[in-house]
Amino acid sequence: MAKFVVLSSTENVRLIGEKIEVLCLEQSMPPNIREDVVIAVDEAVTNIMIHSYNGREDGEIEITCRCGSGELELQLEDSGTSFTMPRLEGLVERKRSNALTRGGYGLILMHKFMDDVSFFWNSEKEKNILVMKKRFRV
Amino acid sequence: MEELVTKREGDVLIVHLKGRLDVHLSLEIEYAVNELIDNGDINLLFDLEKVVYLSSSGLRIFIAAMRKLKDLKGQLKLANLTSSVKKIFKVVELIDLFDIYESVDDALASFSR
Repeated sequence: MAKFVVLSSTENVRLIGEKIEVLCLEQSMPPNIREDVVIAVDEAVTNIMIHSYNGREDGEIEITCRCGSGELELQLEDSGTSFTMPRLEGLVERKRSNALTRGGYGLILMHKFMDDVSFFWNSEKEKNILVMKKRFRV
Repeated sequence: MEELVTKREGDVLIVHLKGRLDVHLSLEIEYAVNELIDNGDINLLFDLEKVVYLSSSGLRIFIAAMRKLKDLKGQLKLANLTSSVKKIFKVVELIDLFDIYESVDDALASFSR
């Protein structure tokens, strides 16, 4: 298991991507899957920075990675504003009827690139928790 | 801004982008592209050969420009997409909405004048 905490500055998106890439490399994950995971995490932290922390750069994002039996699990926690994640089906439908809308593509990428995406508010910890899973063969 | 360099070819402005188009850089590029359009450049060709990474924040540069140019009856074309950049356009089902070419020369030749 690996755990790290970063501040919600957009400058850190690249750093997070690099850390995730190293973790994926350590698991001998194929390059195309690695690329998908890095993008999904980029989209997740970008959402946290913009929607949860509303552009504040001093919020904490805690990222926990667990790996075993051909599955990578990433858990992202933040203490920003609680928000509801739209369902994938609704998003894709909305995009098809009006393709040039500005938002929502990040969530589509997260869902398409990962095998499982779940999001909830933990009232005890008072944190948003996002869990994404990716299965892979070495 | 070193990640955005422009070159004029007749009435087409070629916009060479480079680097990682993630949230950190994309907003700045989006503003710069908006400014180009506001200054009268309505035929834009984006050369993405040196774009090494594209997230949805980077996609928004082209979506915003496309929306603006549509209203102004301008044209927007993309050239030299790497396979990982093309994949992002495909996954979000935007690949058919943009005019995408293998090379800058091919894209230039396609502009209706």
